[in-house]
Amino acid sequence: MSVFESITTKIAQFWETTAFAGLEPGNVIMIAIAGCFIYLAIAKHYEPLLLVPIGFGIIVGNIPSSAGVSLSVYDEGSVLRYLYFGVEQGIYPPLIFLGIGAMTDFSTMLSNPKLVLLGAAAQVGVFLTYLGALAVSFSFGETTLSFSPQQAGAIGIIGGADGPTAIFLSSKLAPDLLGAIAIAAYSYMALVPVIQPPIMRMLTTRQERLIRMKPSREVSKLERILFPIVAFLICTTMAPGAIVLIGMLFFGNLMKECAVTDRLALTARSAMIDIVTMLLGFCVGASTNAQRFLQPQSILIFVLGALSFAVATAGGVLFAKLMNLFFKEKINPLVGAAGVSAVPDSARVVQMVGQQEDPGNFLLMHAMAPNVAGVIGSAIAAGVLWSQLAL
Amino acid sequence: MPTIEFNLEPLTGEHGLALAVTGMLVVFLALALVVTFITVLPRIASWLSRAHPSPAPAMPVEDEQLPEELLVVIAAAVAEVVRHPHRIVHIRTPGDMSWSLEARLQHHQSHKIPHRDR
Repeated sequence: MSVFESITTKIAQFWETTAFAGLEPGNVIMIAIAGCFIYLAIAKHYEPLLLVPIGFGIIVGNIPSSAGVSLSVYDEGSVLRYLYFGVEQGIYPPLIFLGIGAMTDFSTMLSNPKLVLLGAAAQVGVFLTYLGALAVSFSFGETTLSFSPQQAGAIGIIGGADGPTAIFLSSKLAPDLLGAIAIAAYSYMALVPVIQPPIMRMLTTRQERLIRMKPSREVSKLERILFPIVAFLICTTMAPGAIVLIGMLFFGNLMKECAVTDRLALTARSAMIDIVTMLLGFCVGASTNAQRFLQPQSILIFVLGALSFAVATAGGVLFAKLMNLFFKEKINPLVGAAGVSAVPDSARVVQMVGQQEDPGNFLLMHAMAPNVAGVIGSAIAAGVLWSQLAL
Repeated sequence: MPTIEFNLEPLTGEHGLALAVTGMLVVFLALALVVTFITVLPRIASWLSRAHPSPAPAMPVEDEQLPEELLVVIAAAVAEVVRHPHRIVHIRTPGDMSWSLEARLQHHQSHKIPHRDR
């Protein structure tokens, strides 16, 4: 063999080990989607803390590796596989909840308890989407696609508008759909300012959008300390499946409110939640390999996810209108849209839509009450679905 | 051509409508109990406060120089910064130090190194 032939053979061998050899159109599409995520995060500021890690993770997950080299999150023994362990086993979501608890102020909720019910009403999106996913089937050619109750439950929780809860439940009930569900949940959370306002305007009159609500009362420190302990006992007695998520949420909140564990609360709400968010977002992105992700069922999950967000928003707004029939002190129905637990985005959307009608109307703090109640509500819904469907 | 169909049969089973309705009821019931608890929480807190009273707050000290509104604002600012039980014992107005501040300013300015062209 001449030197020239040796070199061409070696180059051909090397070509086979590069990513170009295994790159498929699906990978290119996924890398383009990742580019959109990163663009939306950087240029439009749509959930940058989530979309940048997820977007870059998608790029990493769609670079094909050569045979025999363990690189992806699905390859046994790869570094990414170890990082993905936290997603697969549902370890990261409770840690995110710990951080959320340590940064959440429940005062607005404690000062206006009836708004908590709006957080429950918005969970109608979870259960209606569950039923929808159970009933729908998608046929193309000779293949028919339908979802099992476990998969339907994991899809339904997208309507809870809570990324960590969606990941936690899908890791338990439908690990094969985890990537699609997580991406759908976080995409729609980022698109809350686009999805919610038309529904809010459609379901309310101008007079209703102009309603001004009474300022919140001041909540004592003792109340703020008692709340996480007793609320945890109430919620988990009703739905023990929510112990992990609700437990971490209220544990984080107790650390914040008791004022004697400031160092722990500070770590939970800053460094720890940042590290876990990076790992969670990156690993979820890296799990969206085109060969696994670009499937008809992913499209169906995205459609059902969009419906669940719309139904959840409508559920909150309509329930606020229903409450106005019974309460003397009127609620601005826009606040109901914050019952979906995309904290604090949906509360910000309520403030924005309210101020478009009346620039002097400040609904943000009122909207935070159903918003944080929505976090509790979606965790309870996840607990119910897990305990019933994992049997 | 892909088609989407709806089949209502899975909804009639144990994991269908029954689970969805039960789930929604559990969420509502749990949060309704939370609402009930939050409603009575101020009473529980006030009962507990009465049972274990906190130390009486320090009596305000008469100050002839500062208006009451200014004292309230200063006390609020200190409470926001300190965030622990505290007692303000003395408020020093800038006027007390004006002579010494002026002297210190002049002293520092006298040490200014003049710029030299090389």
